[in-house]
Amino acid sequence: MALTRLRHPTLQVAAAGLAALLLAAATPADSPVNVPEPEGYWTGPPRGYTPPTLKGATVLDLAGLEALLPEKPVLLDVVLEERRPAGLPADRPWSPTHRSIPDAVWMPGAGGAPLPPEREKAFLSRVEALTGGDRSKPVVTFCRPECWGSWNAGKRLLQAGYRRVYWFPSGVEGWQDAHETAVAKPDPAWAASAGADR
Amino acid sequence: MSGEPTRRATLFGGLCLCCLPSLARSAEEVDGRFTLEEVAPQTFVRKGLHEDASAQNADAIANIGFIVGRDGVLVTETGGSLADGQWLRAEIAKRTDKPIRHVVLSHVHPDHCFGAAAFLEDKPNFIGHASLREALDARGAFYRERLEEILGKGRAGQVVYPTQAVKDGTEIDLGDRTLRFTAHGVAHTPCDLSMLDTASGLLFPADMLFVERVPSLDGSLNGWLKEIERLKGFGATRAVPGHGPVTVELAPALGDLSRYLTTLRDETRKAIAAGISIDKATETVARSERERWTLFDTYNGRNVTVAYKELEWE
Amino acid sequence: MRTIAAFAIGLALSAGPVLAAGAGDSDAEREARWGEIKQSVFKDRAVEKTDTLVSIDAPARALDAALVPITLTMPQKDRVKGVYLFIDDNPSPYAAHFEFGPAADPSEVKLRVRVNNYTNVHAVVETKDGKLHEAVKFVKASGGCSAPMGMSDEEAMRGMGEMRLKFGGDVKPGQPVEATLMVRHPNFSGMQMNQITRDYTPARYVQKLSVAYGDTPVFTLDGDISLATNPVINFALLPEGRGPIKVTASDNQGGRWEHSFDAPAVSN
Repeated sequence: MALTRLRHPTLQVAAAGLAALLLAAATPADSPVNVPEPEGYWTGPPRGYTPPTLKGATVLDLAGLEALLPEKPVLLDVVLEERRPAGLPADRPWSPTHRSIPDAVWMPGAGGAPLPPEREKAFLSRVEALTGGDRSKPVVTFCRPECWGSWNAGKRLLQAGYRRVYWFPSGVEGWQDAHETAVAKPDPAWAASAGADR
Repeated sequence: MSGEPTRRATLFGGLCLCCLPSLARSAEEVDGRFTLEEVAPQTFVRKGLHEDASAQNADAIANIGFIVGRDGVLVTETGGSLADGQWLRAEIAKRTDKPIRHVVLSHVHPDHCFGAAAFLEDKPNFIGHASLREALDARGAFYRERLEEILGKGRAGQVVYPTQAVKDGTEIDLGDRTLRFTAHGVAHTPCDLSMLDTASGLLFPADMLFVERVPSLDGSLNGWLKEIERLKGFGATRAVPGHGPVTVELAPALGDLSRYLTTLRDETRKAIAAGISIDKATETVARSERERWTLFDTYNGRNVTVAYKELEWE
Repeated sequence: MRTIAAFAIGLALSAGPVLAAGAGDSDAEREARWGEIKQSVFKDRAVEKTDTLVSIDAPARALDAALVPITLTMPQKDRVKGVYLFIDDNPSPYAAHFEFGPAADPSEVKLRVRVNNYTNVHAVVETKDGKLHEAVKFVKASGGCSAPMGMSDEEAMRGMGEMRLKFGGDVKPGQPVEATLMVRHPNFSGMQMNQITRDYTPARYVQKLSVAYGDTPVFTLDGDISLATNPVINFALLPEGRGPIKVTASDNQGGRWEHSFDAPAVSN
């Protein structure tokens, strides 16, 4: 029994036993499996192994996302913007382009934590607008594989009371392996809330 | 799925993913699955799980353990996580009251040194290769920050640096036995430390010896082959490998490892000389070794890339 | 410089709806991006499509996005003046420019690049009559520009400027000699996060590489952050030259290295 359990990629914590809970909590996140969900938001480096779950949300693989699309969910892309490198000579052109799932709304950095209150407000009010104020409308957060941004963004939505939050951890890479992407520009309302932040 | 491995490979760049611990642990699993074997008098080793690992997850766990000497305990490997280390520490407490005096950090990979924080309260001597600190700095901060997040700032502590840095060699006397340490040149990693127990004659080459599971190259291919020759000269007949059965006959195990690394080297050299590009080389080099090692498909290609980048400078 | 500023502005204002209408537009978007890149580098010069003057070989799916080997083949070598390489969706798409001299055999060059996302890769060959010709290949790779080095910056810069020049095969008079030039240089893209400081390592990359056979130029290469760490360039030269082969490399932070190599011995 223990053998088959070990083969399972997700953390199987025995129901009984404080020891078990302790061990699960103590498990550090440097393995592709069994990354525990942090208590609040993830405030560490944005890239790293992410948990297999987001409590309260549904985790989607590509097939799951494809099945959801007919419902026209709000697609939230929180990939970080590329910053102009220091050391790049001033006359050298810099023109990052971002490709995403078609029809997605790109809010770079919306998965950061902690977020300054005015940005958090901007994020939530933007999502409110996109969902028409309907907390039961499906929303999907994604960024890239092994990136915490979309996990945080999903959690943010859950805290705000959204009832159908989906997290697509494979992100843009998972999508573009099977489908075409579309060029995305940062959502203007979200970008405006940055102010001195950027 | 194919997008993910690519991203992961570039995400972690040079960080070796080969030795990531499996952390699927419940109290039941820890007590039931993991047992310590006394491989020599007062020498205990917990075997890794790789023979049960599926091809999907990187479930290779190091062989961890300890030696109880007259004057104290020496931990031979601390394991892949705080939980691992804590489990080991509890097992030590079950068997002896003696203080834990020394903890070996055999090299930078997380599955070997990440349990070290479990032993901080014992205030032992943490012994590691002189290059370990730098390697931990380059790769370890990632882990440190994540640990803090999971455990809380109070509980995580620091990534554990060695308190004793070994440049060439040193000895530790446990009263009734001496442990002889050698700091190796760049091999599996740039900070490999081996240990020879004079009492049992057992050699602990750490990850300079892989058995059954495909070796992973994260240092220098030529260097590793050189250090294998050195290990042969230590006079040990049996060893505790970093991954594999708890003890093995040293000569045949080193023979298998040498064969893989030599094949990797010779075929990569041929590919370079023939002008075969690096990505095509990963498909053709060392194919003859495929059936002999678990997780070959997952890690051989990466070994070829590392080898190619090294050997083309010859 | 006016034109480069125009390039930057042009791209910032480019079309490309915030919400794309659907997958079919993707090709149009890629065409538009390519058009902008061409405009910024070549201005109003015409660029014709070709399948005879240059072809690109690259892995369709790259194992390591930070080290994607590219082969540019130019069969009509006597017509070739130079060749440009673009990685369209890289934030700095103008990856490399080779200009060949009389001592070169421009039939084929190989180099290693970073690819940041699934993208078209374009090669534009300039023929001696001043005309431009393009070829394209789609490459699937992701994250090449931001992939961390996996070692400290200091370690990555060790041996910077060291070079090797190797020759392949028999050297016969009248036959081009295959050569491999290797330069140790981290080529920091400026997009790689330092794991310790959590800041980005500033860009430090080989801007120019010049190879001359005695006094005769073989090629110059203008590089960019899209070139992989430790550049390896395969090229061919005509063995009739005289004197040592001189290689000069310079980077964007004032680094400059010169090495001299013995010319390959011609066998009979």
